[in-house]
Amino acid sequence: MAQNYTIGASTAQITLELNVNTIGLAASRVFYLDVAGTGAGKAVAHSVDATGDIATAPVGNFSTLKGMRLATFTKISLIGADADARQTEANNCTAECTIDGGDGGIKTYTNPDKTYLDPNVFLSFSIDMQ
Amino acid sequence: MKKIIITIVIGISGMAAFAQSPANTKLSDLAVPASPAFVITDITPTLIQDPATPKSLVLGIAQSTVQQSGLAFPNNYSAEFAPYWWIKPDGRNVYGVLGINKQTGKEDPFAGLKFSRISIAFINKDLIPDTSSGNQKVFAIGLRTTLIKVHGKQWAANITKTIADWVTAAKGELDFTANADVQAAYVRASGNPDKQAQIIKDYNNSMTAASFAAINKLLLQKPTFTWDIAGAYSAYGINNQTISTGRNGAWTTLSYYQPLDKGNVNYFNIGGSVRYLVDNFQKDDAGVIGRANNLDVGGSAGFSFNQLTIGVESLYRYSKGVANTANRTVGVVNFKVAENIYVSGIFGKDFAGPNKIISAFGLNWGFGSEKVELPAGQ
Repeated sequence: MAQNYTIGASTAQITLELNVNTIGLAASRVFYLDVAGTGAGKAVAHSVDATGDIATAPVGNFSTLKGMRLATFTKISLIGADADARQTEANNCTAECTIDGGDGGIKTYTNPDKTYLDPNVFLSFSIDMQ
Repeated sequence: MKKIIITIVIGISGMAAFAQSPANTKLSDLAVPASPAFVITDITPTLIQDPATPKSLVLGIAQSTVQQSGLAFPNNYSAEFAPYWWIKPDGRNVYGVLGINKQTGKEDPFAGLKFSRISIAFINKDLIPDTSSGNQKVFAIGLRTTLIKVHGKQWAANITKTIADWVTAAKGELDFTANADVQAAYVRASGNPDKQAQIIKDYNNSMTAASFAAINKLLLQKPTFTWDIAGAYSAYGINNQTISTGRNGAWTTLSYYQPLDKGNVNYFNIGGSVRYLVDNFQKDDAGVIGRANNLDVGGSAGFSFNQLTIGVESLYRYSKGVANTANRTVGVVNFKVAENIYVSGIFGKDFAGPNKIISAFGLNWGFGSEKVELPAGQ
């Protein structure tokens, strides 16, 4: 479910931090798009290893983000031959997304959209920037 | 037709062999048991709970508790769990579970410690070999862990490189135009899981497929060396007033696997084991029931090929109490006839009892994919 973040009158850089908790292989991408449009959006950050985490990174400011939907998208590939264990881990995968720099201050989101299509799990935060 | 006849003949001969020797001999007596609480009480539960939280453990025990002879006691409840998964620590990642240091790429030999498993069992069973057939209320608890696990020199380097390959491929995959479109559609459908599930079917995973398969293949390789330990304690409720310590035990096993081919599919393995068992209700050959302290020291060796495993294990038992010092030597053969169909044989000499000669041969088949292991395996 899409959530909100208030940039308000802030002109500071908006930063994003993503922490993925899984024992699978994870890769993440951050992008923003016009939710009413049809384009694929613009990528602004990526993870750099198989944790899927993204250390605090600037993702834009009010001029680029206000009115847009900032999104994270994480692909997790669950390793191992045991299908039951993969199912259990799919349920256990969690993520936290923290945004800062706007009038909303530091705000942490913990309830991503999740889809499991064995052996992959997809997690996504959708945050409307106001 | 020929295959059918061979199968029938093997099956019949297997049944005949079992009829001659009803001894319930396990194929992995030497190995540290996967569930010590079940092994110490000689049970093989058909349903083992894996509670995801302490709350579900307590709830499971409470739900299986019934009044029996004026005493509330769980009725045949068994569970096994790793407390690590209850904690769900932040920062869980694939490097930690594989025991790979993300910075150095080296293997942490103690990585298995955090996945130590606890097993518990509440059962009603007659574990006292006297003339009475009354069941005891038995509680057992056990712990199993891998103290040290080390793969070959190249394993850590290979898996670190393969994970790095996956990371590179995954970035390209996420940025791939078609997948960027899928992500945009997925994000626009936020809050509609059914629509998102349809959208994600169009995600193209092909760029990471090769490195993902390579990682899973590396995970199948056996470690070069493992040191496992386990312990278990059981208590018997003789009646509503008397609770006695039943069997207690501790196991330790050292295993070494030598690959016999470049693909790491075939292995020669040797192992050494020490097992200390105390049974306060052991019956000796003369029928005397009493306390026996058994120290078993032994070893095993065997070959594990793609379709055939063959091995031998020998244990020397030092006993103090009602039992006598004795030894046990058995050979084990398993042959994979087809997927999930195995011909198994075990033969040799057991410690004590009326059937000291072990001779069992049979056909095992099932729907699982688990392979029968050599003694001291894993």
